[in-house]
Amino acid sequence: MRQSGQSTLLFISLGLLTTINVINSWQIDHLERLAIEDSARLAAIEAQLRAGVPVSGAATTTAAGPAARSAQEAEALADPKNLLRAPTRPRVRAAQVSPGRTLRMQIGQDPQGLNPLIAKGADVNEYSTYFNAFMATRDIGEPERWVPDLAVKVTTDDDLRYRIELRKGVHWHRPAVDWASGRYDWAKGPGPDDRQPFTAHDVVFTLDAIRNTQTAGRVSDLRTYFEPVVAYRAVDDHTLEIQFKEKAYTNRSALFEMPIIPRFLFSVDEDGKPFDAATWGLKLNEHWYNQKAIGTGPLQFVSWEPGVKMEFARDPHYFGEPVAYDRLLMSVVKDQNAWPRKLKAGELDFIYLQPEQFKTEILDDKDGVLLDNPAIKRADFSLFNYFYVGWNADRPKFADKRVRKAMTLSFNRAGVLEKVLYNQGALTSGPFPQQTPCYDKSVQPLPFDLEAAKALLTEAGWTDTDGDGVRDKVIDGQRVPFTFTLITFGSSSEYETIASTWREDLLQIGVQMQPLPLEWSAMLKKMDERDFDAFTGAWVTTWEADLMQLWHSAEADKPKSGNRIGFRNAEADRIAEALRLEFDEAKRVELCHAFHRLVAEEQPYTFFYQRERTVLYWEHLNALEFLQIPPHRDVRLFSFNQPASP
Amino acid sequence: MLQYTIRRVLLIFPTFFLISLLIFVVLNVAPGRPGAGAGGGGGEQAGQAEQESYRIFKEQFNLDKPIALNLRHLTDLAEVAAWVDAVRAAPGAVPPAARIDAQERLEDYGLVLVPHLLVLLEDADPERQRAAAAWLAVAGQQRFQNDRRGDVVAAREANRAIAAANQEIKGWTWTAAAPAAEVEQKRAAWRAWAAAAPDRLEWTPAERVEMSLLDTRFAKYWQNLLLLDFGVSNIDRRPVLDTLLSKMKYSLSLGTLAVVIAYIVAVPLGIFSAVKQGTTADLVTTIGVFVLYSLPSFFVGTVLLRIFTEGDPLALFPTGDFETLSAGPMTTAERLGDIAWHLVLPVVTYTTGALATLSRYARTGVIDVIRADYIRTARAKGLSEPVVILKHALRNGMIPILTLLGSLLPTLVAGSTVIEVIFNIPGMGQHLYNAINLRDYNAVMAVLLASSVLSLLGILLSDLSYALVDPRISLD
Repeated sequence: MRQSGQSTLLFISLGLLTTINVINSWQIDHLERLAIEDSARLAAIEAQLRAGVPVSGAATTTAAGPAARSAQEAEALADPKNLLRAPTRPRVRAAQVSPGRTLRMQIGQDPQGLNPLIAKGADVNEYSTYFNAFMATRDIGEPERWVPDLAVKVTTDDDLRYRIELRKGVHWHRPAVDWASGRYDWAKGPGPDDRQPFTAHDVVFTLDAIRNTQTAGRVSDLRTYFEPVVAYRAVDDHTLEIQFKEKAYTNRSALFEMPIIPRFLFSVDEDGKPFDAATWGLKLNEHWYNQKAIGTGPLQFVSWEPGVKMEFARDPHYFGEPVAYDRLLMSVVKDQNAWPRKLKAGELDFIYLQPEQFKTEILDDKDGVLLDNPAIKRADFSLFNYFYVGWNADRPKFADKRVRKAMTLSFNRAGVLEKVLYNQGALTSGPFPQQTPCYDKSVQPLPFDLEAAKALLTEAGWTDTDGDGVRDKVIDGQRVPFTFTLITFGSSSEYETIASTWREDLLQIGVQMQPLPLEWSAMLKKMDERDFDAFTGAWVTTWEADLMQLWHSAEADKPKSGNRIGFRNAEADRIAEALRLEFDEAKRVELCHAFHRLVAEEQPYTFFYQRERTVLYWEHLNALEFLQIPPHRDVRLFSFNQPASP
Repeated sequence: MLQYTIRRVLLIFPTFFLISLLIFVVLNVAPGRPGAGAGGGGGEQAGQAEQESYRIFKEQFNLDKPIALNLRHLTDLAEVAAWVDAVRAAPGAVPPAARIDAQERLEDYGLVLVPHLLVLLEDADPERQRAAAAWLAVAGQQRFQNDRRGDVVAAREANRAIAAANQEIKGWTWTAAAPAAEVEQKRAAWRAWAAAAPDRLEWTPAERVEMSLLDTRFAKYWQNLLLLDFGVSNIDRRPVLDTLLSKMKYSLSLGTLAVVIAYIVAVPLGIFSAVKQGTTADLVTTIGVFVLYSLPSFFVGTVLLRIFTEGDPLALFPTGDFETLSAGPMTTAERLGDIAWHLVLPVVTYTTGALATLSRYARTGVIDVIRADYIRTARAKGLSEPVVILKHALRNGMIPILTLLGSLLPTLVAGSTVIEVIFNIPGMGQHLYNAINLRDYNAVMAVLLASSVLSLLGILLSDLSYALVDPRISLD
């Protein structure tokens, strides 16, 4: 009896405790909600207070037209000696600005970091165009035209010494740190929102960093271009002089497209103490701010949670045309199969479609409604790259251009492109992107012609003398059969199909090919050591043609160089050298065309195709526009056709 | 018991050491190297890998050292001369592989090359002298001290001196066109430099043994490990431990939830099977859980996503992620609800795989005791069947399944790569997968070592818990 009384008491008190707890949690939840509403209201008021300046500012810039964002720029553009010219059209049309909108996109993986000088990768290069501004940028309409960005005027008399006038009144974004802690007060500057001004000293600091051999990462690629720099100095806060040792066309783009980092932030540790001069390069590699981004561009960094998301917001103080939405949310989605699902579920605004998905979602889609939703649209654009098969010119078999040509003739490129790659690209015949004037459209890709290939092989001395079905030839006194190994990129299954298709065709003309799929690092080792007959490869190209690294014979003898195939041709050397020194557009195009015809004749590579990319997007975005030049996708060009968030 | 525990705990250390050696060697001999870039699929960008900067990178991450055994002090003059000649040979004279190999050796070997290079500096061939000086300027470089921990001020002071010394010897090289006076002056500088600290270039047998074993990647790694320094990632240069801890919360929430739910479902299922042993109901349950077991998690996950998220037919759950990304601020309760909503599908996927094992353990456990004498006694004294099973049989029948908990410890933290990738949960499994792809050695080591420690502890715990819950088992 007593025992049961005790347990009743126990149950009652437990019940009471639970009830109190529930009420307590509910109250806390309610308080939290109130606090959140309050802070939202405060943020709205703050935004309104700030908006007074930038919104009217944006309106005046658009009214005045893109050509004259400031009086300084207008005056600079009026100077006939200025290498920079007015843009042909603005990036963003003022009518499309929709406040309150967030552009949501997926990224397949985290970038290596967000310091564009240190972190390597095409992704960082692309994101840095969002938060960074450069000296000058290529025009959207006419990519050969350089338009002002951070620099308004660049002049030179001899293409060796450049004098650069920088835009005045530009400020770095506010670093994304915990300002309330007081630890970062040293980073406050005199500008709006305590921002630090952008000056010529930041450019000098960046050049110092590039030329310091302790720094590693992307900077080691940039260093190649800045090695021929003799001297540079900041004349005053907005004027810069830089002197190159040798004249070269590539100097300009290297200078204009160099990522710039702020001195006030990257020369110091987290407590604002300057680094030792002896080791500051090493410190920069692991700088505390490398996981965050800072720049002078249209979008400012908000947060990055690796593996989860990265967020940017429109910078109200940006000097150029503001982007058309408030925020950019990039969620990290590693599984590519999830991309269409997330688009369909409305969690993303647009996605890239992978080749296999292109087949399942578009080619196999009978009703023609993308992802079964009529509100989803499609856009395509062509990438600046080309896929090829490289022939080792140092191997006796492939030293003869007739043999290389026969190999190309026997490769059914059009068939493979259609059947394996679902026509996601266009056949190509040379090393330039087809959209650039450098590509000579009169040079057609060689046809698929086994008879012609046989004839060429016979002409080159390869005949089947012993009747075993494989051609052979006497080389250095020894009879060798025509067999070779093709190293293919093993991490992608499409190459396997391509290689086996080609293998069948080669057997018909009496050549035995053995495909060898290798993982990239193993493949790179073989190529560095020149231990291959042939390999599949792809180059990412740029608007500006430069032939030295891939085609000059001086590179053919360097280990680990881009000229892995050992291509040595006096005429090619002459063209490559002339192209470096030629500044006249028309003459450059002539040189390119001459080179294009030369490689079409020599066939050092079997040129294969230039890839295309497909994008799916919701119709609440205006028709997507892509840049002609890499990185092609420029979220600054995207805009919504509905003003408010759904 | 105490003695056993102590013995087991002590055994953990050598086991852990061997595990770390094994992982380290496998990781380091696997093809590919850090910092070499990804490339491949979409195309590579033309550009020169820069030697000097890559050498500093190798030095920073100890990649210039041999993996576990350093016999470089046995290098003789003829070898060094051959390497120097291979690198400076005319194009085509030396196979590229040999040239690359020679170049890397000259970059990596450091001080052991210096005595031989000093001999080559006195060679009759002026070109060889020039090459020797150029390589001396590399091999004679001193390494920077770690100024991140310990006596930071002194380390910085030392680094300043080292930088100055390195800068100075870098200047003692000359071009082919240099006048004889300059060459002679620089050679004299090298001679003076060598004479200034002769003991640094000579090694006693004891020092050689020490060098063989301790001047290696593995030894350096362990030296740091003993100070609980797991190093920094060679991708983002952040301490790998910080990253690891930030990933743990995701895997831990997913893993704990999944294990708890798996137990809640599997144990009753196992008891049910045991009680109905041999009947159709048992057969159906057994086949059912084995069918679930045989479905790979990537399949289950994808099917669930297809059915429940795309709105075709259902859109009940989000398509992945740990929580809503674009949401504004939420109260704690809302946030917990949001996370729970996101975790339903991954937890279900996780559970389907674990169900079979756990329910089979539960079933066997109960079947083992159900025939025991004391159960028969309980039945004989007229207790109802539920009381017999739940009160008497269960206590002993659940011993194996409870001890199994210990061995589940590492899976709670290490996560499941497949499920985390499919459901886009940024946990440890996904982190490990990325780190392997990027050859981020320090990050891979940290994740694997963390899960080895947990495995060892888990096994220890389950062994000890056997003895704790079952008095019949004596470990001494």
